[in-house]
Amino acid sequence: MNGLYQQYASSIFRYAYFKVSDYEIASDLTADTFIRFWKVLKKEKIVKPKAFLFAIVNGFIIDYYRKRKNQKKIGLDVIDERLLGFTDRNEEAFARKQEIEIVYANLGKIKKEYQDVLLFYYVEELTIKEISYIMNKNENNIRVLIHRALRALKKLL
Amino acid sequence: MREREVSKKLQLLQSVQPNMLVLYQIRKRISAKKQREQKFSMFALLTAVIVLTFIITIIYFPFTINKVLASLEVAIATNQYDKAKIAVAYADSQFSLMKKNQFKKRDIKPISQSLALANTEMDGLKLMGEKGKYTSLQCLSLYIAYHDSLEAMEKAMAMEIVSSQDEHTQMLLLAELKKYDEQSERKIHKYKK
Repeated sequence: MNGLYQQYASSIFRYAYFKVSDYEIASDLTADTFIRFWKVLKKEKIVKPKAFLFAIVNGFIIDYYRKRKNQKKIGLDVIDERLLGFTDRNEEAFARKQEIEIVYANLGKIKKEYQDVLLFYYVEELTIKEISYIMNKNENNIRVLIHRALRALKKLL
Repeated sequence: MREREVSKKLQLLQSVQPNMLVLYQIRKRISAKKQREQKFSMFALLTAVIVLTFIITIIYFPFTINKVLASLEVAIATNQYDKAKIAVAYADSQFSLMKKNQFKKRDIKPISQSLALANTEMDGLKLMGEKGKYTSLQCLSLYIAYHDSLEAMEKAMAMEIVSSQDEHTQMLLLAELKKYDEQSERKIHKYKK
């Protein structure tokens, strides 16, 4: 369990943050994800831990939105500085930060399904198989979604 | 812009990372929650075992549970009059239970024990009463009730002995009842003098 935490906690946190745009809530969701994972691990063997962790956090995010009763889209203009980790205050670092924020902001403008699939595939580097498990769609659908999502984002960037 | 360039831009988002302190704090929270859950499940298990034991005891060992409760009540009673009253009521209820169970042999010993307790506590009563605790009149009244109770038990036992096959243990109990009844009668006579 410790090994899995070290391996995936960052990714889970990042994904949660991109979905809820709140540092504290992302922390809570990450903790809840690993606690749920641990409870399941006590009862059964988990074959795909990474996919399962993302499936759990995805479920929590859906519940979070349901409780809030509105779908808050991702894509604030500004990402919490604590997450950017830039120690340099030079022009290069600033430009990079801006670039990240532009991508983030535009990601928030496309369909939720497209956001999810792009985050899973390009940012969290999950396989097509893993994404199909998380999103409960067949692999062909996922491939098509990725293609369409990329095109949608391309139009905005 | 080509799709390849878009995918590279997306990969920039990988540099968004929580720092070590945040990860440490989350990990601490997970450990704390795990410990709480483990403690809770131990507590829940223990509670379930205790409740189950209690239920089984009540169902299968009613005499035992009554004895425990009565002993506790007698122990916490503040004066001898209350102790005696509780003990007499306990002996009565045990006898009623035995009657309900059709005077089973295994119930004789608990009855005998409850009668012994009642007799001991009654014996501890001061006939003159204790100032601020109970009067001699209360004492007399309790003795009369006790005597009546013992007489009723004797009659019930005598009838049972006639009809049952298990005479020996029941005869012993009857003898006990007669002995206690005689003692209570003597005490009542003392009052009347």
